[in-house]
Amino acid sequence: MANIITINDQNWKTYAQPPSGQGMGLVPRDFVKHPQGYLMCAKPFDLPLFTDEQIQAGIVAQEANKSSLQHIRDIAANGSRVPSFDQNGQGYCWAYSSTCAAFLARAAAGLPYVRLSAHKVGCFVKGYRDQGGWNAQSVDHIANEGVPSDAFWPAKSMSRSNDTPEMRANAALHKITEWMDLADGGADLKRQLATALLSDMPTAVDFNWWSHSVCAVRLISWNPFKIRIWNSWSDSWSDAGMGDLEGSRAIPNGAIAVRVVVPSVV
Amino acid sequence: MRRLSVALVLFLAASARGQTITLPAEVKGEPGAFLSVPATTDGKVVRWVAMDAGLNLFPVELLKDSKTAVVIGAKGRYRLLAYTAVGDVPSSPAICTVIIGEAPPVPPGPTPPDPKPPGPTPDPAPIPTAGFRFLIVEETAERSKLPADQREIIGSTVLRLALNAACAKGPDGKSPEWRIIDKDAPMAAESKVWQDAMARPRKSLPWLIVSNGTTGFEGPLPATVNEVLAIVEKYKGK
Repeated sequence: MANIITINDQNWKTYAQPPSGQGMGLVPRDFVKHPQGYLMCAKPFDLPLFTDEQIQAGIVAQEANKSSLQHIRDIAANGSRVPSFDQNGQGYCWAYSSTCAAFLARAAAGLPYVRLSAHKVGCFVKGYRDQGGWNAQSVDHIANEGVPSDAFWPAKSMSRSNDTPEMRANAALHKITEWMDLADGGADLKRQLATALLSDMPTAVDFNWWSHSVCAVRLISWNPFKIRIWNSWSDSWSDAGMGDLEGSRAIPNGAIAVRVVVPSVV
Repeated sequence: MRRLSVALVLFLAASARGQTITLPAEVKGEPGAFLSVPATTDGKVVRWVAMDAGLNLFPVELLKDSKTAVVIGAKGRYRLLAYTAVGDVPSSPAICTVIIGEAPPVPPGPTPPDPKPPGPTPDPAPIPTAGFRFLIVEETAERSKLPADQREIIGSTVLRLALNAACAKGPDGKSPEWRIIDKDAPMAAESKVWQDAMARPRKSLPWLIVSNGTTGFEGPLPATVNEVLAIVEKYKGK
């Protein structure tokens, strides 16, 4: 991780724009209309929260045991590192962050390596239009209809011809069944995110300042607050697609931690 | 055991590749004396791991050449592990037995009869299908309540790599047969092996099921990664 990008309050404008050929697409969630826990199955965050001491110890333990979601990603493709997702310039970051979280939840559960196709989620939720959204919209879709493997919906494809009964049946094998809606800002949000990441629960995180949604995979530091994220800008971004957000840049404006997915053999 | 875990990872990483390192099968010496253990290898740097407590390894970085280890210890038999790499390709590990003092040799020939009365018969396989399988059943909503060391089991990549190597392969012929599943997860899309395993009675959570098709283990999840690795080691490949 020698070349990893760390985005903070000093340099964020440098990194706010996506590289050529990449996109963002976050539409800020309106928490008045869509308050914490508004989704059908989404409970507000309910894990017992870690204390400061537990958080500090957890960071050390995850590094010592190589037990974070970042480390799991490094071996999840049948022993090899999983390539980053690539949203291909479309404004589907909000679909990729949740799909990435669902993928990592499968990996954490030891389920067979299946590369999921987030473009299906974006296409279905937005009627095949290249439009922005927020992560709860994609989580809701994945919970209800699932996300197919890229064998049934090729990566980056926006073709309606992908919508077949076989694709829908395959998508149903990859549903999220339990997740938690984190608080709308404040100290609770930080501690909830820390607790989720130290419990190996991948968390889709929306950042209004970035107009972008990504998947948080690891708590790097509690003070200053610093998280590692897995972007959907391919492996060429930062270090194999992962980067760090620090300080106020690491505080999301909407976050959903994925806890359970459908166990399936394919 | 931490050292043993490191060695296990290295072994797994190297198993399909070709760098070599060899050590003498045994090195003998007296208690309190420095003993040299030479490695033969084409690697430039050799890493050493004393696998048993009581064997002290002189800091290799203070030596001129890492291809020779210097150890010291009290009377006993110890294992010393070494590995190397050429380019980015690690070697398989090599192990030397260090015998200090008059440590009793391994008795030749057949194992003498066990004077203890026969114990209980081995536990039947909780998953009555050929091949090694491993399942943790948990309540994810309680994961942050677990003791820290036990929680580390869930994400431990040392354990995951060990399971990748030890477990039977699934229906696709390449996915290792181990799972960490929430007790409430819908199982209809899983194979019958896992459906049946999840349906077995449990007394608590998190719960561990290990099976090699002949015998196995069922019980509360141990407290540490190393304890789980010991169970894997005990039942795999039998």
